[in-house]
This record gives sequence, C-alpha cells and structure tokens, in this order.
Amino acid sequence: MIQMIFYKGGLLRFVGHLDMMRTIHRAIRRADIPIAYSQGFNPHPIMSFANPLGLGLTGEREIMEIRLEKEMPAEQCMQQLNRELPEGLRILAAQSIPDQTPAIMSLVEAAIYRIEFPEGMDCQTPFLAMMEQPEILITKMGKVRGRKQQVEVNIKPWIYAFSFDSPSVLHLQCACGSVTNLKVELLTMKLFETMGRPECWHQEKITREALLAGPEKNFYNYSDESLWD
Amino acid sequence: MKVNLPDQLLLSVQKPARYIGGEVGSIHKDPSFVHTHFCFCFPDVYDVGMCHLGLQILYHDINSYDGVYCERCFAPWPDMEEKMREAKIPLFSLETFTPLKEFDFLGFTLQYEMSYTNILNMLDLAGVPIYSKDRTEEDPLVIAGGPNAYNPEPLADFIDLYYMGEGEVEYEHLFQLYKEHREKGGSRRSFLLKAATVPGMYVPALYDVTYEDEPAEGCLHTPRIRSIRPNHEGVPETVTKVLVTDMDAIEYPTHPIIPYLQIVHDRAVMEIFRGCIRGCRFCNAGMIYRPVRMRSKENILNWVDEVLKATGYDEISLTSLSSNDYPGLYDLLSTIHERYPHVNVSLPSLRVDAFSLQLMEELAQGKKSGLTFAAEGGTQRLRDVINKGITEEEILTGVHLAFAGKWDRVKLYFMLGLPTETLEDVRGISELASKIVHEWYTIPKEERSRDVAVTVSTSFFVPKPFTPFQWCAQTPYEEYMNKQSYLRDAIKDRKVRYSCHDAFMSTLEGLLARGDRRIGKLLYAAWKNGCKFDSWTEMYDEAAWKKAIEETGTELAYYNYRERKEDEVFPWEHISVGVSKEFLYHEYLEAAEGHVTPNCREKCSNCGMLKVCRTGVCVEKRGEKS
Repeated sequence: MIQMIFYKGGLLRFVGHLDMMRTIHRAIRRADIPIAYSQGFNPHPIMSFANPLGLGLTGEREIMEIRLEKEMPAEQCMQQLNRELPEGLRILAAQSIPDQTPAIMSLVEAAIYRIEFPEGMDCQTPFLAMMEQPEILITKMGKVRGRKQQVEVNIKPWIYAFSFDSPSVLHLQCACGSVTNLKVELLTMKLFETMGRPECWHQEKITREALLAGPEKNFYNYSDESLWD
Repeated sequence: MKVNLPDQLLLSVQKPARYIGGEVGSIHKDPSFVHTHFCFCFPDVYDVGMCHLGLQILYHDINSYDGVYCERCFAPWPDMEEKMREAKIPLFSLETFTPLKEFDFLGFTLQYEMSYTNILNMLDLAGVPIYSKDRTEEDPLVIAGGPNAYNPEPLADFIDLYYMGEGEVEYEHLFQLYKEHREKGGSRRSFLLKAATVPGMYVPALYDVTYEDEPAEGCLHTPRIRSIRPNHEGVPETVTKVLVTDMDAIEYPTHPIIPYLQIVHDRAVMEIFRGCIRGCRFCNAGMIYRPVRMRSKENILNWVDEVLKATGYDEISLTSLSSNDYPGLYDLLSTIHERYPHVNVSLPSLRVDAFSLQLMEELAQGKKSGLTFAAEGGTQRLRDVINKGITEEEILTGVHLAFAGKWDRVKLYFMLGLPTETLEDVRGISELASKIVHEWYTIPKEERSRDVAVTVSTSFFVPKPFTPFQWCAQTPYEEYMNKQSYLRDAIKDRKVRYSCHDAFMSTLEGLLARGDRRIGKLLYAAWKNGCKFDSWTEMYDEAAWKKAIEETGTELAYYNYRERKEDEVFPWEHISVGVSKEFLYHEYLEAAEGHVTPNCREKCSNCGMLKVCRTGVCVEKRGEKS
C-alpha cells in the first residue's frame, strides 16, 4: 500500500469528493501505476481517503491510500502521478505502508481548520459568546431510526480546541472522522446567523490544515510526513 | 476582461464544477495573441454537452490552427442563471472566463430542436443582441452548425452565418478570411459577403424568401413559400454541405477533455465510421451524413491506444449510426478486447446473433446488459414502408439465443404515428412483445434465467427535413395520444412493461423541424414566455409554448398537419445535403407502396450523393459485405 499526503485547492475545491476520486483514479491509470482492483462483478480500484473534504474547502494535507497490484517505490508513484494530476491536486509526500495497516478512515479522528472570515470582521467576540453557551445546536440531515430527516444536534462537544490569530482568523481543532464529524461549514453558518449576518455565509475561506489521529484525544498530526518512520 | 466568480456564488448552485473549466485535456492559450477567438457554445447544460463527440472534434481541430483559439460555453442551469443575472455576471467561456461578448465568433451547435430557446437565452445572458439585424460591429459573429442546421430557417433571424457540413473541412479557410478581414478592416456585412462564397457557408440575411398570395390549402392565413433566392450578386443559389472525403486523413481527438463531473456518458469515444448505408425513410441522420465513410481498422486501433492512454478511461464506446455495417467489426472488437481485457467496450445497435452475444458478454466483462431492438414498426408491412430492414424472425431468433444464454432483459423501441400506420400496426407492437415473452417460455426452466422482462418504449414519429417523409402530414396530438392508449390497453402480458410519454413535445419538435423563417417570432415569443431547457421534463413549460403559438398566430395546420405536394418549396430548398429531392420523392412513393430499397452496399439507388463527391460506399466495390 502507498500512503500519500496531497493538496486539494484552487478551482478543484468545487469538485466534489466522488468526482475527485474518479479524477484521481483516471490519473493513476494514465500514470501507469499498478493499482489493485476489488474482485467481483464490478471491480473498483482499491483506494481510500481519510475524510471527504466539503465543497469549497481547501485541503492542505489530505491523506489517501492506494493498494498496488505489484510493487512500485512510493517516490516513483508520487512523481508519475503528479505528472498526470490537474492543477489543484498535488501529491506532497508518499510512503509505502504494510497492507495490514488499519483503514485510514478509522484512524483519523480530528482535524485542524483555519477559517478566514471576511477581512475586518470581528468573529472572535460572537464566537466566544457562542462557546459560553451550554449547547450549540445546528440542524442537519441525519437519520432517525433509519429514516433521513432534519435533526438537531449539539456540536459543542465536537469542538476540541480553538484560537484566534486575529479577530477574523480562527484556528479550530474539531471532530473529523467516521464516528463523529463536524462539518465546519455548518458551524460558520450558525455563527453568521447568531451575528445576524446570514448573507455572509460562504464568504469565509476554510482550509483543512491537518488530519489528526490518536486514541483518547491524544492526537498527533497524521498528515505530517516528518513523523513517518 | 475576465469574469470573476466569487466562491459564495459557486457554493450556492448545484454542481459548481459545471462552471470552472480547467479539466485535463482543455486547452489554454493567451487570447491576446490570436487573430480569431472562437467560442463553441452548446445550448444545453455542461453534463449533456460534454458527451457530444462533435464538440471534442471541433475543439481540438480549431485549436490546432495557428492564431486561433477555441473555448467552450454551455447553458448555465437555471439556478446559476439566476445568480449570474442577480450579480450582473455575463455569460463567459470556461477556459479563460472571458465574457462571450468579447469573442470574434460564437459557434452554436444545433443538435435537437428543443434546444433552440436556450440559444436565445444564452445570447441574452451574454449581452449580445438576440436578433442578427440588431448586432453592431462590436458584437461577435454568431455562427451555427450541426445536423439541425440543414434547416436553418427557424433560427435565420438570430444567426449571422451557418456552416453546412462537417466541421473539419472549411473552418480554417473561414478563419483565414476573417484574419484578412481584420487586417484590412471592413464592416460586418462585407465579411459576411465574403464568407458567403466559402463552400458550405450560408448567410440568411443574403437570401430573400417570398410567399404565395393565398393561404395554403386548409390553412387560415399562412401562405406557402414561393421562392428563396439570394439578394446579392455572387452569393450562391444553393449551399451544398461540405464533407470529409477521407476519414483516415483527418485527425481524431485522442486527447479529449475529461470532465470532472460525472457526465451522462462518462467514457472514451471512438467514431468508427460516418454515415449509414441503411436508408430508413424516417431517419434524418441516415440521409444528411451520406455517404458512408469508414475509418481503417489500423487507424482505429492506433487511436484507441492513444485515447485510452491519454484519458485513463476504463470504458470505450465505438460509435457509428449502425455498428454492424462496419466490415470486419468482430475482428476489430476481438483485437481491442485482447489488447485491453479490462476495458469495457460498448457499441450501439449491434445485431443479435450467436457470435455477437458471446462477444457482447466478453466485452462487457461478463455482465449481461439488456438487449435492445429498434424495430420501429409493429408489423412487417409497416417496417417495409419505413425501410427498416429488420424482420420478426431475426428478432425472435436473436432473443431465443439470448434467453438460452441467460439474458433476461429485452428492450424494444417503436414509433407511433408513422405514415400509413393503422391500429393493426399498433396492435402488432403488443403481439411482437408477447411473442418474445413466449420465446422465453420455450426454453427449459433450468436453462433460462429466473424471470424475463420485456420493455416496450414508444416515441412519436416526427417528419424531418431531407427525408422521404418530409412531405408527410404529422399525426395530430390527439391521434398520437389515442394510439398510445390503444397500445397500453392492448398490452396484456404481465411480463411486458410499457413506457411512454406525452406527445405535445413531439408536436413542437415537428413544428420547429420543418419550420421556416416565420417561426423565428414564435421562438422569440416562447423564450419571452420563459421557455428554456425544453427537453428537460422538469423545465418544459407546455402552457408557455401554447401561449406563444397563439400570440404569434402560428398555424399547426400549416407546419405540422399538412401533407405537402410534390412541388412544395421547402424552407430548406436552397440547401443541399447531396441527396436529391427527386430521390427523396421517389422513396416517398416507394414507401406508400411498401417497396423496400436495398442498402448502399447491396445496390446504389442513385441518391445523388455521387454528384457531390466520389468517396466512401459510393466508390466501394459492391458485394463486399461485413
């Protein structure tokens, strides 16, 4: 297996997760990387991603893993793939990992986001006020006894840490995984609503800076290749 | 000037990837260094337009010319249109985000009638005057081509210049003229006068249409056309389509644009030949793309290699109007399959026999996709009238083999409202479907699959220009619907599913397909009433169309329901696709008699194509069959 850290940004931010996966798969084929396929009637390439990135977000250090049919050095994989990827997608680092490594989706539990609000806008005060509340309720599509419907959830417990670089730039560490996951866009929507400025939603720039793994919230940066063996 | 699309806007519409360009295979040049800046405009949404092979061909062809840049634009989906109008963002190209108004040419492709209102809407969104006569020296030249351009008249008021024929042939010449015109300076009209002398070019404003004094028989106020003649010296009386004479001498887009979005047909495409030898009498494509011209097996194999390498697709479709008419088709398919065992190969309208079944299964990687038969008519008599060379025996033998091989889904396509059709023919559809189900029962239980599903789909026959049926009266709406409900009642077999739809859109299609210059005001009125994306059921607004028909006093009795006489002067009288009017009329008479005309490989029927060029099947040795 090859694990890769990649960047997704620019106009590619408007390409959804599934479309990006197909784009990468075709690039892998063009790059002559011997990716492995699942068995069965509808063979599909064996590739997995840590966590889908929402539409419009930049991912500075996203993670994906692909299984190979025959060996190829990670470095070569990266170089060949980078030649075929469109602008806005770039492999930053790659390493070979054992096939038995647990699935990437189950390892990643949190992420660090940088949220740049419109310049000069003070979001710190309303955000701190919001964090003072016992609950932060947002409505989202969810399942109740198997049925899809609007549900209200308290997202406060999913916010693990935060800091402000300036009143309009927020750094946020929050849940990002297959069990609990905070869609940061929903948090910013809520924030703009409490500020009485709902029309500003989507004017903020959201960047996922790193994906974190680790048990019991003892996180370490999973998308930092300097921590690789 | 570049259009700026704020993130906020893109995040507020569905599928923003429709509007960002930048795909692998798209071509980037600096527009300030070209003499001709062309925008290929597809009057439908991105996901539909990007499936169109003609776009890929022209895009790469035009971009291969020195000093010319071809970009793309699609009709924005209404949610995007609303945002753009709100933010006063003009329609823009996908490669450089240049407003359409700044281009030298806007080139619209006319693929289906129900996309016409989108052309008006796109011009409006671009800030380009909708009527050709209102455009100034500052505006782009609006050019149109594609299969529906052969009846250019319904859009004649909106299009400055038509290109009749295959795009590979004359664009370079046209752009050369444009370059000279730019260097020397001169008016829009002086350029159009020069362009009108290039083979295949038609400038509607340089032709006058005159009408008879009295309304046509059975009509209240619409007179027939008396003549269509050039109004300026040096402008040809007849514009003849241009076509590629050697399919192996032209380039193929082996590095196509690969969309990010999942489009309707998300795969590589290889065109194996152009034209059709069959001569089905209802089929417009079968006439306008004549003669049949093959690409050689060697070239196809090389191009398949290149296109798969360049795209990374794992599916390829070999396209043509009728796959089985490619000589050595099975050989070609086996070779592709051997070279690319993991690539799914699909091809349309394959004849069903023992060999093709085995091959289909291999090509589809063991998947048994449904079988499709386009029988079109319910009885042999009617199939002879339309010259559709498929027999009941052929279909039944085919499905028997398929059922024995555990295929279990069959789709049948028919048309309702074909000339001479009786209720017996309509009933014949149901009977044929039942016979197919019966074939399944004749196979021992253990050898067939668990269940069978036969789907009958009907569409409504619409008479099209340049076909033997261009003289026909179109079946009125009520009769269409009566036939449909008659068939619904006739289908009693529980294994047969029937899928059908409302007929008024077919009436509109017929109106636009055989419309003339007077239809321009109807299109304008329909667009003003809010019509756009008419081929999308969720967008189609029948009431708005009916209102426009009423407002403009458009007579369906004239355009749709009238049988034309031999001496009819058609709106497309001054256009030639090579096939002669005499041949088409002869075919019309043969149809009435139920006489079958052999296909081009069996026997030349003197359609007139040989007077235009000597190529393809017209010069093949007869008797060379696949």
